[in-house]
Amino acid sequence: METSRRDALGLIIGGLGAVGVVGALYPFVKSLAPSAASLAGARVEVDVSQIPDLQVRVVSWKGKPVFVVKLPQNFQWNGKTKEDNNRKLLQGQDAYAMVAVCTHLGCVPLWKPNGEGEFNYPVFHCPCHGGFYSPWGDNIAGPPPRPLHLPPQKREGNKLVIGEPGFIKDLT
Amino acid sequence: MLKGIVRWLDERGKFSQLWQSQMVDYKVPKNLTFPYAFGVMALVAFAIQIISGIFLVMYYQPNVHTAFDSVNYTIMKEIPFMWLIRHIHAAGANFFLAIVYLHIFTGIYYNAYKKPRELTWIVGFFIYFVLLMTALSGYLLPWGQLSYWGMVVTTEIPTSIDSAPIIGSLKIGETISVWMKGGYELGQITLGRFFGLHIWLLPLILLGLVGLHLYLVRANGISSPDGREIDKKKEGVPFHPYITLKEGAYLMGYLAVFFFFVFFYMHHFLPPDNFDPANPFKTPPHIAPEWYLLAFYTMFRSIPDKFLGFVVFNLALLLLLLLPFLDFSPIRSARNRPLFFAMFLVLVISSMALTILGTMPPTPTNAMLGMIFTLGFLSFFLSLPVISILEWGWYKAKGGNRS
Repeated sequence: METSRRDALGLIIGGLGAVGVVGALYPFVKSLAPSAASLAGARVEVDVSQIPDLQVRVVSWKGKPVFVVKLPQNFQWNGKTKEDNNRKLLQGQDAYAMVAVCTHLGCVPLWKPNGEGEFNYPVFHCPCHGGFYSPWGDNIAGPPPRPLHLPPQKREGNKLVIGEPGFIKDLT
Repeated sequence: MLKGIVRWLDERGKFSQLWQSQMVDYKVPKNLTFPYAFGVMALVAFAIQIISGIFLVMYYQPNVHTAFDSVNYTIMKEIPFMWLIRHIHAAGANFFLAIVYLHIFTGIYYNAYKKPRELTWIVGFFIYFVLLMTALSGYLLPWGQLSYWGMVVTTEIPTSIDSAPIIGSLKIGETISVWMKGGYELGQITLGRFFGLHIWLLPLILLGLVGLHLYLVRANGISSPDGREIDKKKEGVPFHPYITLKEGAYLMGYLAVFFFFVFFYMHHFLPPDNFDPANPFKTPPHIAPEWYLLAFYTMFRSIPDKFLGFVVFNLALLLLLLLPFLDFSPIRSARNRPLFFAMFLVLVISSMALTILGTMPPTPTNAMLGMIFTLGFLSFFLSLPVISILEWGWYKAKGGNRS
C-alpha cells in the first residue's frame, strides 16, 4: 500500500504528459488542413437569371474553370454526338455546370453559339487540337476521348450551387 | 608537435579506444561477399544527397512562379558548377534507391532479417518508406510538367478508399488527398509544404533511422553468407583493415559508375518532359512515376478494381514489413534453402517484370501480365510459412532441435 501514492503520482504525471503531447501536436497537424481560400472555392453559387439565354459564364470551382451554360426554353439541337452520357444526366435542366477542361490535353474549349466550321449549331470547340463538344459536353468530333466532366451540383430557385450533390451527385 | 596535439586530443576524447573497439576488435565473418558492400554504398549515397541538397537549397526558390526558373536558369546556367551539383542530386536519388533495392534483396537472399535481426529489418523498412516519401516530395520541386502531374496522380491515390464498399461513403480518401495538398488544387501551399518536408523533416527522420539501423547492425553482428553465426571471440577477421579497405575499393568503383552517369548519361534522370514548366491545364500524354515506384504502380493499375488495386499494393508493402515473421524456418541463407532460393527467384523476376511493365502503356495484355507478376510477387511472401514448416521437418529429422 505504501507505493500506491507514488503509483498514482506517476499515473497523473504520465497522463498530463500525454495530454501535453496531444495538445502540442494538434496545431501542427491541423496546419495541414485545407486553407481558408481553398475551402471558399469548394462551393460556388451562380445566379443563373443573370446569364442571357444561350450564353456561357466561366466560374472557378476547386481551382478549376467551370462553364455555367444557360439554355433557352424548348432548346432544340440538331447535332449528333458520339455518346449521350452528359445529355441524359442533364435532361430537363436549363442551366448546369461543366468542368471547362478539354478531356484530351486540358485546354479550355471556346463556346460557339452560332456554330463553327461544318457544325452550324451551338458547340464547344477546343482550339488546341480541334475537339468538338455538344452544349451538354458530349464529344462530337476530334481527339477528346470522353465528355466533359460534370461537377456535383444542385438547383435552388434561380441559384445553381456547384460543389453540392443534387441532380449531379459526384464528379463524373 | 603534431604528435603532441594528437596525444592531447586523444587523452581527452579517447578516440583511439573508440577506433580500437569499433574497427579493430570488431570481428566480422571472413567470408563476406560483394553484396555486403551495398550498405556502405547506400550510406555514401545518402551523404552525397545531403551535401548536394544543401547547396541546391541556396539557389532554389519554393514559389510556383519562380521555382522552375530557379532550377533551370539560376542553377543550371547562372551559378558556376551548380549544373553539376543538380546532376549529382538528381542522379544520386536514383542511385540511392537502386542501391537500397539491391541492399534489400541481398538481405532477403541471406535471410538477414531472422532472429536476432528482426528489428534491424523493421527499421530498414521504415528507412525505405521514408526514403520513398523523400524522393517523391523532392521530385515536385522543379515544378516541371512531370513533377506537377506525377504529384496530381500521387495525391489522388488515397481517393481509391472512397470506392470501397462500406467505408467509402465516409469520403476519408478525399479528405486525405485534400490534406496532402493543403487545398483542392495542387498549388503554392503544396509546393511550400513539400519543400519543407523534403529539405528538413524527412532527411532528419532518415538520419535518426539510419543511426538506429547501424547501431542495430553492430549490436547483433553481421550475418554471414552461409547462415552460420560466428563465435566472435575465436573466428572472424577485424573490420579494420580487412573490410574497410575492401569496401573502400568497392566504393571507388561505385563512385566511378555514378560519375559516369552524372557526366555522360543524365537524360534518364532529368527527363525532357520535365523541362516544360508545370501547366495545370495540360496533362502530358504519358504519365508514369519514377522507376523506383513502377512495381507498385503496375500492381495498382493492373487490377481492374480501383480499391482492390489500392489494397494489393499496400499489402505488398505490409508483407515486406512482416517478412521476418512470415519466415520462421530454422535454416538461414538461400545457400542452404533450395525451396527458398526458387521462390526468391520468383520474387526477383516478378519485381523486375512489374517495373518494366510500368513503363509500358496500360493495354489489356499488359494488365494481364501485371496481374500474373503481382501474384508472383505476393506468392513469395505467402509461400514462406509453408517452406518454413517443411524445413522444420527436415531440421528435426536431421536431429536438430529448438535452441
